[in-house]
Amino acid sequence: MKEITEMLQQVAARLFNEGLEMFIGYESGSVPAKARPYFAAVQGETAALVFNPFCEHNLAKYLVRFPNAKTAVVVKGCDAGAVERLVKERNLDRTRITVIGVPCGGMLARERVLAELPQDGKITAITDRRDAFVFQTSKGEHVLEKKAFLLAKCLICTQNNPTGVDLMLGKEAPPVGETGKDPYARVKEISALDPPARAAFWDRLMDRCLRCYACREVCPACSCTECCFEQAVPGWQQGAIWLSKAVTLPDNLHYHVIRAFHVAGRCTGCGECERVCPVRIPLMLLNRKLAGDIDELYGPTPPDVPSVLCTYATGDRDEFT
Amino acid sequence: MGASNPLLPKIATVVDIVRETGDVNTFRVVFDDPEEMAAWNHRPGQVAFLSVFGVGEATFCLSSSPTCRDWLEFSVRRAGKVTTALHELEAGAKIGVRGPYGNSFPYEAMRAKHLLVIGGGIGLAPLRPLVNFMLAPENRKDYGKVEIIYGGRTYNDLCYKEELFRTWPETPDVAVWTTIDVAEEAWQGHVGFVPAYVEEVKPTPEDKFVVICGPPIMIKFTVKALENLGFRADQIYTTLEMRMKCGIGKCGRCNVGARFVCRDGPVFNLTELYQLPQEY
Amino acid sequence: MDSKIIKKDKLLSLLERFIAGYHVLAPVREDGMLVYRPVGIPGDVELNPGRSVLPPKGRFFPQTEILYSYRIEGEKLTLEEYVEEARQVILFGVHPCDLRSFAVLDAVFTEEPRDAYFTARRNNTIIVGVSCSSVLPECFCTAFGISPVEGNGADIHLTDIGAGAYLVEVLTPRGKELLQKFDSLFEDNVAGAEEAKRAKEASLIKKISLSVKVNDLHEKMASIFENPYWEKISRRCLGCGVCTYVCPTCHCFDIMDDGAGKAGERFRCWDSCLFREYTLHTSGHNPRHALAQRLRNRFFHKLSYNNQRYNIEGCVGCGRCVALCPVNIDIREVIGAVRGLV
Repeated sequence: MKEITEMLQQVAARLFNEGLEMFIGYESGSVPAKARPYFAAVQGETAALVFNPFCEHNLAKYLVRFPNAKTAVVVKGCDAGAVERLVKERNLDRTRITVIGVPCGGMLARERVLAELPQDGKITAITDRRDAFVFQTSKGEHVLEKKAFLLAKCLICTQNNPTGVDLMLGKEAPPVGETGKDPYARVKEISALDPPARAAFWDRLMDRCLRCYACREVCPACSCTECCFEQAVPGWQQGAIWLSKAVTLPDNLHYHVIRAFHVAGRCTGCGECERVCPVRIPLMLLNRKLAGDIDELYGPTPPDVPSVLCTYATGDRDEFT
Repeated sequence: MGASNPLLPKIATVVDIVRETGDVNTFRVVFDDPEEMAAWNHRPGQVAFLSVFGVGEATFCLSSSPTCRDWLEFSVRRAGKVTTALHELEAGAKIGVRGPYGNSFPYEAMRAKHLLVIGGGIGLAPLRPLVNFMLAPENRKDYGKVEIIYGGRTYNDLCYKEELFRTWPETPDVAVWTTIDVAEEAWQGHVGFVPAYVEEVKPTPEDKFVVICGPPIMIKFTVKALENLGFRADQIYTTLEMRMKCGIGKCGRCNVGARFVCRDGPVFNLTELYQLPQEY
Repeated sequence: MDSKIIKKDKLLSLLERFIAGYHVLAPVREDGMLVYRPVGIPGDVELNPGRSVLPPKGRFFPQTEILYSYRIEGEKLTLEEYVEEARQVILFGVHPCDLRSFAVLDAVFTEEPRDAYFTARRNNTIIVGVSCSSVLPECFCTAFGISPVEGNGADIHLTDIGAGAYLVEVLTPRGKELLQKFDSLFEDNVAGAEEAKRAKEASLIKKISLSVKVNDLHEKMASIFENPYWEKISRRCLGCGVCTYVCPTCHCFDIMDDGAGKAGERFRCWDSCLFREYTLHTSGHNPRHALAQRLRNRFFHKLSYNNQRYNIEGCVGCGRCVALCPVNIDIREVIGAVRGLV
């Protein structure tokens, strides 16, 4: 991954020469086998930029924080759609943004990697060998087969190379996801449960939601400047309380179902909501369910349409009258 | 738990509602249990929580004097959820009251000193208990002169008009200056902002405490005016307003630096304020 | 006080008897996570648990808790308080960092006027501590003078000393009273148990990152309140509530009403100083409007304000916020940065 890292640093340095004000990428994390979002504001800060199979974060939403700056952002295949969506919905001024694409050979599940590597071995280099990542550590070389170590979402991913970017770094990545795998397999499994079993499945998971709102804060489709669940301004929406602040199963269900509907047709499938959930609620199941339904009901969304649920024609069927 | 549960309000009845301005009402409140009424003791500057059940609870300063033993008064501006619900109440309504909380104006240290009161709009509410405490017959001899400089946007925005235009001016050793921001046809008095009026009135700093309450911008410029007149930071007291939920230093919300406004405030002098982070 | 030995099979019998007579909360595994749950079967309990996702503070300070209910009938308004169940609770399997967190919470909730709800639950809970058996990469309890094998704050403390045996330290009269009921399950303390515990301590401490030093930190914090560092670190912060909700010492809450008209409840629930509406005034003014201010407030609360106010560290080095922050904001790095800045 050394080449991509070097390319990123060089590109960032060049962009700052050309008047860039903020470069959003990744740096190494504070613990082994971790990366994190990184913000370089001047050329001198570009040396910390990295890219490796722990750069799982989707950085697109951070762009919204810099509405008036010339910004560059690093995107993987699964992140690019989020930039596009934010632009389509007029949350971003595309002319101010340089989108830098990186080929992605899949992201690794950190817990599994740590269990595999020697405890006190320092990672010195990581190489992508198509079917495996090879880790050089201070305690020797370790080959981690992708099939066994990639994040679940990467095993069904076919977007290894981002589209719609201004600059693509490195060589095109070959697909890592198993072709022919049905992305809706788990959704179908849950949908096939009888209603009491399905309710039990979700109740158990939603009962442990903390309502920390990490899923909302990280979600590039949750782009409202003020969330309907925030109730920040008294009297807002005529003082209606959409959701009790009490953390109870019905309120948790309510929150997640409403959020899923709000992002339906707009969710780009990056899976960030699921990644950040501290109590491991498989939120992408909900999003995928709705994505599947929309696909079935409306077919593929035409490129000039922001999203099927955000558009209408006067001739649309109206079932409510 | 009973009496030992500080979060449990005591039930009280709204016995009277006085319309002060277009959006400020003063609620006169009496505990249903006479023993609670007798046991209630607050100091000038303290706050209490009022509950409209089903809507919520909010913090208000007491605007009645501690020397009044028959009822409590709270002046409430209609702004948010709870205040709107309070404004919809009629006399006879049941509410919850808990408190009093917080520190108070240093009425002990103020003995034998003069007092300068500067208020803007509903900012007079927390200052009124101090004025009326000092003017109460049993306390009057303990304190010096009381000067009051008070302003509102319009005549209609002035609170406590009975006291402002009659009771206080008619009391010996009390001087009242009132101003409104913009001239009105029926208004014979002073027109202009409070800070400028303070510069005109030119109060002297000797043997005096100042208490200020009003919009932040008014406080800011009034403090400048006072400093120009020779007042020191430790002579000037004001009250901080932060969102509070418990009032007893548990919920964490009202912190400014390491201080909790509900416990260590709401009254601070400027020397103390200058040492706190500007997060209020 | 005294100490005993209990064999692992007898420890399971002890748990069984606890379950028969008490409400027992203990760490169990759920979808690969460790969580404190009411248990009915001793075998479900993790005897050497490791770090739970949520700290056990919820036993004393639940995420959502009804304070009282109200009812209006005609002219009459009545309030009915929540009353803690009479049955005693055993909170089993608490690690030393979390044991310390109880002292931090006590400072807040039992300061006069005492919080009646917290105090009732606290008084009604017997705490069984357990020494750590492993160190996770985010652990740094030793920075706060905590030993991973000491049971300060527990009524009874267990340490796995190998060979299927646990050292049982009875630390309070309440712990003694409890164990007396099950005397037959214990063996007398054997020679070498204390040494085994010390050896365990030494091997655990060796694995904890010692680079974090906090002595006198809270005094130094004041000088870096105004520093570009806070804006910089807040750039990646999401403004979610993960760090505060998984923190064993965070105690902020909101109080709200649920219900309308004639009857309903007033409840309190955890709140987070990272949320933008946390300090928002009705007027629209927000004293901590910027995320950088909110993040700074959290770190100051943990590393400075708590010391100033209660003379006890506000962080216990459990590492939960480090492990669970979605963008790897690491309080140990913040401590290091503070030291570097002053």
